[in-house]
Amino acid sequence: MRRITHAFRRAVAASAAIGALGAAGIALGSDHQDIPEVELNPRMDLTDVYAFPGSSPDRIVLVMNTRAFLTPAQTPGASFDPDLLYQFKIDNTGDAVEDRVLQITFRDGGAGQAVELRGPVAPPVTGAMMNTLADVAPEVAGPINTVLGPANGVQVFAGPRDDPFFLDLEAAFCILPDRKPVTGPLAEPCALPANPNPPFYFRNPGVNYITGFNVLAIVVELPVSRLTEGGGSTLGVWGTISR
Amino acid sequence: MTSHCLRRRAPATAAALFALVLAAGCGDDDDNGTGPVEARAFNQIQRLGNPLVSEVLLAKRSHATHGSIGPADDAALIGAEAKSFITTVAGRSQAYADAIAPALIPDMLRIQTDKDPTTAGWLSWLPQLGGGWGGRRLTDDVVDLALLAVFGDPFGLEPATATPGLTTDNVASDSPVLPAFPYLGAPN
Repeated sequence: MRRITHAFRRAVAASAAIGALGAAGIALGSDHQDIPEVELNPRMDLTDVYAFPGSSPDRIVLVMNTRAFLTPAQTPGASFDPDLLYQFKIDNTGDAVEDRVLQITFRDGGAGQAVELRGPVAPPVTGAMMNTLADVAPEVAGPINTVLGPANGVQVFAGPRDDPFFLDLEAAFCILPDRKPVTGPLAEPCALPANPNPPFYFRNPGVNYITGFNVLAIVVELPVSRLTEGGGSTLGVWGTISR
Repeated sequence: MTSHCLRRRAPATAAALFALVLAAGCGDDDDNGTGPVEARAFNQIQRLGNPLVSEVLLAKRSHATHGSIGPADDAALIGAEAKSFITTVAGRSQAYADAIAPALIPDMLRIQTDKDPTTAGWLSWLPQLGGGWGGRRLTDDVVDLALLAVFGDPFGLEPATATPGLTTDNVASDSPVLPAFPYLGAPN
C-alpha cells in the first residue's frame, strides 16, 4: 500500500505538469483513439473486440467496434473505409498464430456502402504484415445497416450502433495524462478536484464518458464449428485493422 | 497511388522483377493503394484482443508497437513493459506480475467453446475463476475487472500490496443492448 500510494502521489503530482510522467501511471480507455495516427484517420480506430455465445449453444458472436466517439450528428454520414481490411483472427491450436480468419471489406463510400465477408478460411498470409484477401468469393455480401445471411449460417451486420463500452474516462485521464488523445475535449487539462489518496480522481457515482456516443460496428454470428475447424475447442480471438 | 504500384504482383518472373523495380519508387506506403482490395497487400495498424491491455499496461509510446504485431510476438516485445507497470506503478511483487500476466499475454480473447455458454464473461476461462467459457460480453465491467486484477487481490496471492480503494470507477453498463442479433443497441 505504501509503495502504490507513493507511486500515485508521483502520478498525481505529474498530472499538474501534463506529459512529464511518461510510463508511470494508469489510463483506462479500452482502446479508443490510442495513437495519434488514428486521431487523424478515425476510421482506422479499433476500439473494442467482443466474443460471446450466440442464439444457440453451438453459435458464437464476434464484434469489432471502430470509429471512436462518433456523435449522433456525425452518424448519418459515417462510413467504413473501403481501403482498409478489417479481420477477426482466430487461433485454434494454442500458438497465438491465426488458423482461421474472417476478412471484412467495404465497397463504395457513404451511405450506399456494401460489406463483404470472406471466410472463415485459413489465412493466405499469417502475422501482422503483408496480409492478402483469400481468393474466395464473399460468403456474405450486401448493404450496410442490414442484417445479412441466414440465422443458421453466417450472419453479418455492419453499421453505426451505440458504443457499449463504459468508463469514467475523464477521471482516468486525470490519473494518467500520458494516455490522453492529442486533440479534442479529452486532451484538455484535468478539471476534477485532486484527491491525494486512492481512489484519486475516481468519484462515486462515476460518470460514463461514453454514454451517447456511437461506433461503427461489425457484428458476425456463426457456428462455433466454423472456427474450431482444423484445431481444438479452445480459441484465441483478436481483431485487426490493416491498410 | 499510381497504377504501376498495383502491378507489383504480376505473375511472370521478368514482369514481377520489373514491377518490383517500379514499386521501389512508390515509397513506404505503396500498399495503400486505391485499387481493388483483391490485388493488394495490407499491413496491420490496429489490433485488439483483451480490453485495456495496451491502454492500461503500456505507455502511449508503445501503443503503435502493440498495434503492428500479432499476439505471438507479445511476450517478446511488450511482455516486460506490461509486467513493469504492475511492479512499478501498482507496486506489486514480481511474483504477482508473473501470476497476472498470462491472463492477458499473448493478447487474445480466450474462449473455451466446450464449456457451458452461461459461464461466458471476460477472463472466466481462467482456472482461478472457474475455468468457464470466457470471451467478453457487451456488458462485462472490464474496467473494474482490470483494476481488480492490477490493484486488488482477486486470487488471494498478495493482500499486503493491494490497494482496495482503486478497484472500481463506479460506472456500470448503460447501453441499450439487444437480446438478439446484432445485439448492440441502436445508434444514438
